[in-house]
Amino acid sequence: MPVAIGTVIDRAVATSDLSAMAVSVIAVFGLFLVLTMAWRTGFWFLSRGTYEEAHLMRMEAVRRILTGAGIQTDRQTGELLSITASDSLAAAELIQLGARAAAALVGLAVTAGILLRIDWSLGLGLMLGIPILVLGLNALGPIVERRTAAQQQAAGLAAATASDLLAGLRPLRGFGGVTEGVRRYHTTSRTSLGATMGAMKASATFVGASTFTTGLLVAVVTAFSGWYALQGRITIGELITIVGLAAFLSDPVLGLADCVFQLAISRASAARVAEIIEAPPRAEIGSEPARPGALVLRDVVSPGLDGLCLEVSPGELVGVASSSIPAADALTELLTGERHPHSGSVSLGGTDLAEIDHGSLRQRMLIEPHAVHLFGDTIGAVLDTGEGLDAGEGSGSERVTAAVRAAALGELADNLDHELLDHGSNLSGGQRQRVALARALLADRPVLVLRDPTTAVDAVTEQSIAHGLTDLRCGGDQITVVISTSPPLLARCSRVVFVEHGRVVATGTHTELLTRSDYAEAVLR
Amino acid sequence: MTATVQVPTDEAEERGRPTLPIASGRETGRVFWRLILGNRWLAAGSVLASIAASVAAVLVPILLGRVVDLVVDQGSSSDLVRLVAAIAVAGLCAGVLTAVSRYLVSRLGAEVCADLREDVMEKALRMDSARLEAAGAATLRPGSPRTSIGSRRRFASPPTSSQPW
Repeated sequence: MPVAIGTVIDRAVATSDLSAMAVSVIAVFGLFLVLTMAWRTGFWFLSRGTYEEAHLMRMEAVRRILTGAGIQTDRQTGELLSITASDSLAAAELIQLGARAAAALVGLAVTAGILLRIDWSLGLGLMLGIPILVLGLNALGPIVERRTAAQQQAAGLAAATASDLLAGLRPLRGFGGVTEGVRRYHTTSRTSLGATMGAMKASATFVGASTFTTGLLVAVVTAFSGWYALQGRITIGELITIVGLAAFLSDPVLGLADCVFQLAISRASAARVAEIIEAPPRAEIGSEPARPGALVLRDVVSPGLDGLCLEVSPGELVGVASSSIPAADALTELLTGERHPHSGSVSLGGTDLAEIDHGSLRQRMLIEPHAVHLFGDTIGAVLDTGEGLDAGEGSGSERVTAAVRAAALGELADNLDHELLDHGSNLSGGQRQRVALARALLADRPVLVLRDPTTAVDAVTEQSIAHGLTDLRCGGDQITVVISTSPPLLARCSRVVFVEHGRVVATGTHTELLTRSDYAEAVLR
Repeated sequence: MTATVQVPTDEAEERGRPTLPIASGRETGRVFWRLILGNRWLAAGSVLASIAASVAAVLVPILLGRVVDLVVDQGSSSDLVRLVAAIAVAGLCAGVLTAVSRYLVSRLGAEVCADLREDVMEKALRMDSARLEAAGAATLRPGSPRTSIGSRRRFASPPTSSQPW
């Protein structure tokens, strides 16, 4: 553009040639048109690339967090959310930076070429001066990066606090903690604000410095070219071209400087996304396929357990009763793979759990923890674990009916399209527990481990579940382990294992064990 | 200061899953002004600094035009030096003022965002929980970084006026 206008001034304005003027105006108009269209197309491609890349990165991060053994991380859920949601986008903006930096470099190269043709000393000066300026600004990058990382960290903390408070809203109201919650959120929000200020101060200084250096560059170029023009070494048109180019130069130079600045932000974000994607798995993932066979715990030592031995053969329904919560927790976590035994082994079908491939293990064994999490907008969606409910198909709907009856879902099962609020919060605790149980039964895995499945239901329902559960799971060579102190459930188990002080102290049916006073005390509270 | 965002909406309930009411443009404007007035000195300062920065930036092309005039009129080299010095000073002023205005504008944005998210959070914690859960608590995560960072960026980088040539 500066070149075109310089040429127009020399060819048309200086010579007062009307037809040349008309051609020039049309040419300048065409040039503007090309500029606009090129910008628009480039913007479309870059935006699309960025969002698709961000999507891929997000999916990868979510996959890493959710599948396999999960990841080892000290970050809170809210922080993971902020990383997958916003950091992946910020990191994907690297694509735009690459394109913008390339465009700026081409612009600089063309400018330098034109300047060299007009006057070699000016061209050479600019070609040396600009890299020095950009490198100087580059030195500010790490400061901005540090501040930005601190700010993103603080923003993540604020988000984490917010999501904690909103998730626990009902209990929070229950104990009148709203005022305290508001106060805590206020504190983290202000911390986040403080960190934002730091990042803003750094970025403002950076922008100011780059504006000033551009101004200085224009001044120096104007001094030399004005001097040459006064001496008659270059024409007026060339002077305007040079001064115009010097002003234009601010664009690619600032563009490069901004790229450096954005690079710092993107790198801080990319580092956080990479941390998730590259995070070590919470447990070693094995590669062996899961084989049918007995579930065996041999001499297991872990906090809560001290040399526990337990063997459950296919076809058995075993109750594990213990008055110690750490022991029950240890058993659940050892089976889910969240925990490894200090010594001893946990194996299924002769293979150590740690060596079994996670996907294969999940197909064979299901552990329903005590804390209930329901996913989906309707009861039907919650019950569907990915294989489809096949409502209408004979075998599918029969399975649903059986599972729903076994879990004593009763009134809830009449309408599988019954709408659920966020995480099923419009269900009572007992209803939620029964829905989760029905989901576990419906998944119909060869090995099913239930942890306290009836703590939130009334005695009549508990009795009904005990019957339904045992009827559904007793056929074939399925393994069912119920970790519970509920007498109706234990009474229906073919064998009950009583765990005290981290080891098995007695085995037998519920009725036989009731003669022991410590067992009776543990289960008949 | 509480940002009341309450406007009766009938359409919301029609779309299957209920949503939280969406404030009208006027209501949003009112809340916006209340937030800005809460930071009035910062707001005034950022407007003034931005204007001053623009004036300093506009000075540069004007002075460049003077240089061309000077060369056309075959002026003296001491006049050229004076003009170049003026350009350098304008550049310095533009740099300092841009930094100051950038800082004030983004600070205003961050302060307003912080006030807003705290208000929204307080409101959310005190509103009817069934209603909040019906909309999904995730819709209302005021500290959500996308919201705060996004707005900060929008505040921080006004569209840069590209040079006409």
